[in-house]
Amino acid sequence: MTSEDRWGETSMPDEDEGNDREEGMDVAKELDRLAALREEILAEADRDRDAPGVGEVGTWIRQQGDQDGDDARVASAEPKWRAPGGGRRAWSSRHYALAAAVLVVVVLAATRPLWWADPTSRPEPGPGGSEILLSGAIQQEAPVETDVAIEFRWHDSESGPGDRYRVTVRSETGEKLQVSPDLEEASWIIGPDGWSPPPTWEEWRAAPEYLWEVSVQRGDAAWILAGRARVRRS
Amino acid sequence: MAEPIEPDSSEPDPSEPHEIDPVRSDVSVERRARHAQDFALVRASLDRSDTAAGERLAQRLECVPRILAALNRRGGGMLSNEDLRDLGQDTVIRIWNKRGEFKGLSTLETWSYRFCFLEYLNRVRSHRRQRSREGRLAEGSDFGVDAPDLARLLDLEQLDVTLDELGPPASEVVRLKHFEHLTFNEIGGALDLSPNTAKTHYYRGIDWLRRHYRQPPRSSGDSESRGQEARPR
Repeated sequence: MTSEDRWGETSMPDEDEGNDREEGMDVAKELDRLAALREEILAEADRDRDAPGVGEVGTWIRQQGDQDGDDARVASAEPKWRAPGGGRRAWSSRHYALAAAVLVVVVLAATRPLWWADPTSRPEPGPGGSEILLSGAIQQEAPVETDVAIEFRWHDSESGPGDRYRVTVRSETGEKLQVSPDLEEASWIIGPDGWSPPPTWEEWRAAPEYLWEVSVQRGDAAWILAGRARVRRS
Repeated sequence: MAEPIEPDSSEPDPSEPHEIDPVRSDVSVERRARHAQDFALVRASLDRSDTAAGERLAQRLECVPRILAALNRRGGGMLSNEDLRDLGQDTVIRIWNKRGEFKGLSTLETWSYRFCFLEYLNRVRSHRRQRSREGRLAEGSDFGVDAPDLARLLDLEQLDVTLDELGPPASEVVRLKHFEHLTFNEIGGALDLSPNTAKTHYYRGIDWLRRHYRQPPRSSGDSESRGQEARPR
């Protein structure tokens, strides 16, 4: 709807134009206050040289470029694998093997978009030789117009105390939509009444399909399992 | 569609007191020049062969972690440094992927700020829900008590969210007027409108906002959603 259309709906000016104008200027003052507050925050930010992550922006963009097949945009790269305690370590051959396995899973998922619906399919190697079974993936059983949660579920045959999971949801084009906090349970619910609806919730909950990943942290080992999931709607 | 109502251009404009202020004019010219430079940089970064532009843009986007840290200070330090770093990565990538939508109507920092604010707010709400579930946050606790600075910012930022509902060009005119401090002549130039049409859209936008906030709130249950009930006072 254009502003002209909206204007037509409100049919101004009206009989209390004098008061309207005065109140309207109050809105303008609030906008000025917002502008001043933003400028204050930006000025404060400009003086901050030690904010967490300041020196890593180029690396982040490079990593994204790698994902997009656009690998020459920013120099220097650093893997995102994190050791317990927040440190970082280089990829081992096992990580590269896992990345290749993930790629295979993604390709399979792309060629058979509904494979996830088979509850008995695809056990994946997990930390310590255990198997993690991706199953169910996304459930959205109600019409998209209603406020429903989207649930991600997986099964980890060797899960134990101290294990941590993190779910990353991506759009069909690979854009990261949401990252869960560290989880101890083998499921994650996202939605208005569940966990952390993102600002773009209305947009992306309507999407027919998502990519999703579950990263598993067990001791010093970290695994990522990835899949593609189609939203099931009744 | 209704034709724009052209205001009487002879009418004094109380919101335009600096139209002839040469100092403000210099600032405005400088600001617009920065907008143009930023726009050129972003366009160049879209060219995959221009790696130097990509690197320069990456350097400029270092403002993102800084803005997030500044917001976190207003939020009472609700996020840890590790959380901020993770959020910074997500926000930078989001901005990078959306950079094709940058129109050069503000500086890159101002444009990036809004991404930062929304992402920060989303992450903080996630953390509060988690803490609430774990019993580490009192039920009914809201930003107004825990982080009054953030609550005030949230109230004001709701105005900008509401402008999205208004839509362009009126929303863009209002933003350029208040957030970029441009004159109606400059706004007209930036949006390819006549100054009088820009002025008309401005007053329409302000009036629409005023009417929007005059309506009764839609809900009052969520104590954390103060911004959704914000009222210009």
